[in-house]
Formats: sequence, structure tokens, C-alpha cells
Amino acid sequence: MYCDYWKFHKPPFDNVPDPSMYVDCHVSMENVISETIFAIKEANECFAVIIGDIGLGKTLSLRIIIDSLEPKKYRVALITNPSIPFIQLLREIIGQITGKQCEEKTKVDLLEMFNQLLFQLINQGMKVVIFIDEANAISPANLENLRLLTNMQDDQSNLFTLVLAGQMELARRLEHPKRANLFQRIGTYGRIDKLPSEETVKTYIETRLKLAGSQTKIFSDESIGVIWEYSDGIPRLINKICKLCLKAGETNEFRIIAPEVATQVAERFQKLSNAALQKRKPRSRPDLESTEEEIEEIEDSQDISKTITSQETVTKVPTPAENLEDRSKVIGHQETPPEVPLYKIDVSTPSVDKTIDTRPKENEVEEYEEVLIGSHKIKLTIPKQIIKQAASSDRESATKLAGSFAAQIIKENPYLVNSPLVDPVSIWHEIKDVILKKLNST
Amino acid sequence: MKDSDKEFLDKKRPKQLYDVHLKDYELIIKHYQEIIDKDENFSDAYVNLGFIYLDTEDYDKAIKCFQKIVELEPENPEAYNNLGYVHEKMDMFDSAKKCYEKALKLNKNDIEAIINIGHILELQGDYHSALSQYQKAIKIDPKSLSARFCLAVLYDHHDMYDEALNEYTEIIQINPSHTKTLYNLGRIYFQFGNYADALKNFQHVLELDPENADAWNNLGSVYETTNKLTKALSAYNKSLAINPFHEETNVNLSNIQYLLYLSDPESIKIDDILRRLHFVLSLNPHNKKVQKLLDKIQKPSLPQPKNTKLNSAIDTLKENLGGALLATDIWGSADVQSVAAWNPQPAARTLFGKIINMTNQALKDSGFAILSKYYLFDLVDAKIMIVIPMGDFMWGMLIDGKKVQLELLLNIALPKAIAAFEDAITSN
Repeated sequence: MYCDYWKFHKPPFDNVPDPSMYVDCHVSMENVISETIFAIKEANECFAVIIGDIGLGKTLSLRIIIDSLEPKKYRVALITNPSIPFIQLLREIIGQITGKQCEEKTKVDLLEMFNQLLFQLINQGMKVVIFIDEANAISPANLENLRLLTNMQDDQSNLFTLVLAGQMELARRLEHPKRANLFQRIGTYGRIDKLPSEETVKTYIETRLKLAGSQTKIFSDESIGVIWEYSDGIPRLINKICKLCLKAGETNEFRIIAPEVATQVAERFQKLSNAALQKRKPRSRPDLESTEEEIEEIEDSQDISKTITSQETVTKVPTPAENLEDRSKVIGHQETPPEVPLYKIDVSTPSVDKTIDTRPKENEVEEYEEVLIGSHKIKLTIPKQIIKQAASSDRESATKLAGSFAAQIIKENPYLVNSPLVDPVSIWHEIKDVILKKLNST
Repeated sequence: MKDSDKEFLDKKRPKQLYDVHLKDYELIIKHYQEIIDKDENFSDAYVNLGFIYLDTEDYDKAIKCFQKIVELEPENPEAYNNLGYVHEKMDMFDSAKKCYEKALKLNKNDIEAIINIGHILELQGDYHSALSQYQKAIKIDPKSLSARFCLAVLYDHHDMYDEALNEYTEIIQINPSHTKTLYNLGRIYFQFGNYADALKNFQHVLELDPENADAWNNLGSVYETTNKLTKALSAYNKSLAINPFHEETNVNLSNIQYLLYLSDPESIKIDDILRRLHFVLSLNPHNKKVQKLLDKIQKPSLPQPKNTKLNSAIDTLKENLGGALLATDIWGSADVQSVAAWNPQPAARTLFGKIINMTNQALKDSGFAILSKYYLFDLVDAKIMIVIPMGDFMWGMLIDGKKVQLELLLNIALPKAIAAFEDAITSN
């Protein structure tokens, strides 16, 4: 184990919640944690907000805060996917607070139950704290409902504290003038930032090494520069690179980590696809025997508004493991998919006639052009909103818009690029050019 | 859709299109409902119907089906596990957890329930509790692949590589063809720099699952890192043939193409590379690796010394060595970009660049005598590789030792080359 080689008494860079390895130099995280705990325990605030991008320690901070709340004094609910309907959200919250399944069905009943629960717990000398992680995913309706929920407060004090933790998008939403009512109720508003400089990264690394029992300099100054460059100041990535460097050091019997080692380590994991996950599914029963009843043939109906292909992902139901994969993809790469409206196109080839419903939706059709892309004839219709957006954008933005739309078209019609002789990038480029021409001519 | 359901449809309705229409699901639903109408306590029908509703994402109806099963089979832990699963699909994690806990009350050794609870704890960021759950499941059934794999992946996600490696190794001992484990092991070995084992694992994955685009990408990465560029290109292209939208592969391919372009601008069109990168950005505008590579391509990163003098230095070397010179490259130490070359060898540039940088640092740190002017590598088949590091650059030369006298090389050709190099570098 590399700890023995480097003479550590514990691993210095494990990416697991461990308050003892918590480093002073990550000032913003330290501040957020202490302010939020203060808001809950002392100031009895209604709302607390934690903003932080992926990998900066938001979830870790929440975990540290939750672990600091004495179970005898606080009942905690933690919601990790707040995009569910409000009724389900309330059921989840009540279920976690009471420790029992919540069977209430209506919003009115749930609110009533929640209200009673708050007063019961206050009388027992306890307080409710609701943590909502990934709060940037909350729908506007839920955000408003949560604000209204905080109206359930005593005349003298707040009966519960709501802690919202999310990415920068949450900050933008909360700071919008429309949310002024909610914003005014926020007691603490903390932001976890990246480590801002090479110097702070150096302090971070060296402090963690000391906490692990290191007595010597292990990372050269130049290697810290490399780590700063590749991690972009994100503690999770710093930990990962440093750990792998230490491992490489043990394998190669280095006494000090040179910049080339850090470069090699950092470049390696950037190239890889994500880890494979466990696919979980419920247990099905043995196949049932089918009856001999006559069922009339179903003809193709023009009323079918949605077709599901065997290759399409429309019917693919992501398992929670895949949700985790999405989360971990996001954690790993800090990427979010572009938002472009979906649109179907009619594609016909000489040999295969596949009809997709291209009936225009209301207010959507502007104009179309029949174009040849690869060996496919395409009737391309561009939604009004895209044309409008492109008209008010500069050339670069319009090009990006056209590119996103082109990618969407290919994704929805994978047979455009199915042939091994076809280069998908060229097809994408062709479609993008056509779209751009249309956008420029309108 | 279950095979039996598909068979049912095939019997009752000839397929006209390869697509599965919503109408097919309606047929199946109607079929099960008819069974239930005849026998409202036929729990298997509720289970299968519940799965259909899951498939069609009609979760409210799915929940009703699985709740009915719980009513019919209140002592069956599986019923609670399935109900919990539906709650999970609806992101009602606490409700799901309670269902799994009920399953555990009925059978405290229900591995599935324990793992499911572990998974929810993991989603909630409670690493230590999730760890306990998986370890508990393994204690009950040490041969449980699910439990071990979940534990291994938990470790993996938290960069606990040694622990993950141990668990993955245990899994392979139980099932040597566990593809996902082989894949994840390959990733860990690669990150450790153990390329041989990484290669072995990815190749094994591809034997078992040749359509695995991720594995092809990772295989390509191993080849690229070990300077087998042709094989790397082939692997990346195979990955893209399976999934043209694979971001990492598109970026890796662009990267390698750019390196080739730098060494030989005729070999590849820069516009094709840029096009691919913009394609990736159209899929994901926040891809930072693409942004980084675009910045690199679109603006010069090094101040360029006058190439004329460098090319002239190369010409002089060619003159002095004649047919003994096999290849020569001058490149920037930091980014390995070629600035002048004759018969360029990008793989050699990368390899010797790394070796020289590491050796320089090791010498510096050791307190031993530092380098004077150049490194000389005596290679097999009488080949000689000389590398002259100078400032921000390196000059490498591959020489056929059979065609030149060593004294001539070291005492005449090399000093002249060094002087010309110095002159070119300093005159900016």
C-alpha cells in the first residue's frame, strides 16, 4: 500500500467524507459549512443556500453538516432528486422525518400533516431540517411551493430550516427578480469556490500530506503547477491526481513526484470512458401461457403520435444505477447536455420507406426544403423558435445553434449514419450547413 | 418487453414494421387485464403487468400493480423489493428504502434488499453507510457478484483504487468473464500505468462484447499512451463506428490527429479535425477538453524561433551524416510540437521527450552531476538515438551506427549541430 511507502499513517487524498482530513485552506467550503450550521442551530434561519459546481465539495459539505446535527435535537430529511412532483416531495420529506411510509394522497392532507408534525416536534424540543441536494433541478412550481411551505412558521420563530444546495444555475434562478420574495427569506447564502490559485492548491496538498503524517516534501513545485493546471482548482480532481501520483511514486520508487509524472497521470484518466455500473432490475415471474383468443389485426394507424423503435431510447427506462451513472458522468466531466427542441423529419430512401409522423405541430412550421444528405432525401423543417433565436444572435451563436439542431436530427434518425461508409461528422456538417443557409436566408 | 409477450404478439398480430408500436403494449396490457378479470388474485399477472407499465413509464399504474402484489403476498420479500424498485424509478428514495426495509424484516438475509438500500444511501452521498450495507451483503453471501460489484463500484467512484482492485479481483475469481469487472479493472490498471494488464482486460472485454464502444475507446487510449498510434487510430475508429457520438473517442481521435498534423501537415486536414471538435461541441457545449484542444489549435502556444535557422541546422546535419541520418525532429519540450523536421517520427518525439524530461528531473533532484549537452542512447541493430535538450526545445536524431564513425559523429557532426541549434534558439 502506498501509505507505507510514503510513511503516511492514513491516506491523504481519499475522496470520501472525512472531516478529519478537512483542510483549512479550502476557505469557501469551511465558511459554507460553519455558516450553514450556524443558520440551523443558532440563527434559526428559514432558508440557507449553498452554491457550488460539481466536484467542489457540495455534497460532502451537506454530509458534514448533517452529521453535525444531534439526532436527539434534529429530524433531518435529505432529498437528492427534487424534480419529482411536489406531492411526492412532501411524502418523501414526511416519510423521512417520521420514519414511516407516508400514505396521504392529496396536497391539502400532506400540508396539514406536515404542519402538525412541525408543532409536535417543536413541543418535543426538536427541530426539522430539510436538505435538498441538486436543488438546481427543482422545477419553478416546486420552488414556489417550497417558499409557501416556509409560511408555516410560528409567530416567533422558524419551525424548520430548508437548506438548498445546487450548482450555479440555482444561484441564477434565486437571484432573478421574480424570486425576490424567496430571496429575501434566505438567511445564509454561501458559495463553494474552486481553489483560486496555484498557491492555494499547494497549501491544500501540503496540508493534507501533513495531516496524513508526511514529514518530507513529496510534490515538486513544478508538479503542483501541473496539478493546478489539470485540476482547475477542483478539490476532487486534485485528490484524484495526487493519489495516482503517489501510487506511481510507490511503483517506480520515486522520492519526489516530478511534473512529468503528474502530467502523465492527469492525461491518462482524461482519456477514459466512465466506469461500468451495476444494472439493477426487479425480479420478474415465470412466463405466462398466452390464451387462444382471437385479437383483430391492428392496422397502422395515422393517429399514432409516437413510434417506439427497438433501437430507440424512448422506451428505455433508465435504472437508478444509470441515474447514478449520469450523476457520476456529471461529476466526472462537469458537462450538461444542450437543450434543443426535438423535431422529427421525414426520411425516405429508394429502398426503405420509413414513415415518421411529420404532421406539423401548431405554430411550428415555417418553411421546409427537400435536401439530399448522404444518400437520404430529407424534408427539413426548422421550428419558428430556432429561427427567431438565430435571428437575434451573432454568427457564432447561430452556427452553434445550427450545429446542435443538426446533432439532434442525427440522434433521432440514426439510420442517416448507420452505413459504415458514412462519416457521421460529415453528415452532421452537411445538415448544419443546410440549416445555417436557411437561417441566414430568413 | 418479455420474450413471452413478444411471442404472444407475433401469434396474434403479424409484424408489418420492425418498430414496436404503442398499440403492441396496449395489446399486452389488455391481455393481462383479461387474465386478471378472470382471476383477480393471480399475482404473476400483476407482476408482468407492472413491468409493462414500468416499460411505458406509467409509474402510477405500475405502483398500483406492485401494491396489489404486496396485498396478495404480504410475506414475500420479493414483492416489497419490486415495489421499492418502482418507488426508486419515481425518485422517491425514502419510500423505496422503506419498502426494502420491509423486505428485510421478512428476510433479514435478503441480499437484494440490502444492496438496494446501499444504493439509495450511495445516492444520498452517505458513503460509509452504503459501504456497510454492501459489506453486510457480502458477509451473508461471499459469492454474491452483485454485492461485490456494487462495493467495487462504490470504491471506484470514490477513487479508492486499491480497495476497488481487490474487490474486482475477487469477482473475476468467481466469474472470469464478468465483462463489467474486466472493463473497470482495465480502467484502474490504465490509471496505474500498468498498460499490459489494462490492454489484456480491454481485449478480453472486446472478445466478450465486441460492440462495446467504451472498451474500444479505452483500448485506443492504451495504444496511444504506449505510442502504438496506428492501433490507437484503428481502435478509436471502431469505437466511433459503433457510437459516432462517443465524446471521449471523438476528442481522443482529434487529439491524435492533431499530433499527426503537427509532424506532417500533409497527412491530415486541420479542417477535418476542427469539424470533429465542433461536432462534439454541438453535442455538449460544455466539453472543456474540446475547448482546450481548440484553443491549442487556433492559437500558437510557443513563441516560434526563426524556422529558417532550425531547418538550416537540420540541413547541415544531413550533409555531415549523409545516409547515416535516418530521421530528425526538433520539438517544443512542453507540448511536443514539431518546429522543424526531416522524416518526422511523432511517436519517437513523445517517447524520448518523456524519457528526457524524467531523467532531467531525476538528475536535478538527486544532486548528482547534471547533463552537459546531450543524451546518447545505444539501441539495438546499431541504431543510435541522440537527444539534445536546449532551453524550451529538444532536438532528436536517429542515426544508423553502421554508416558513420562514432568519432566523426561525436567530435565533428554533433558539436556543429549543437552550435547551430544554439544559434537558432537564441536568435529570435
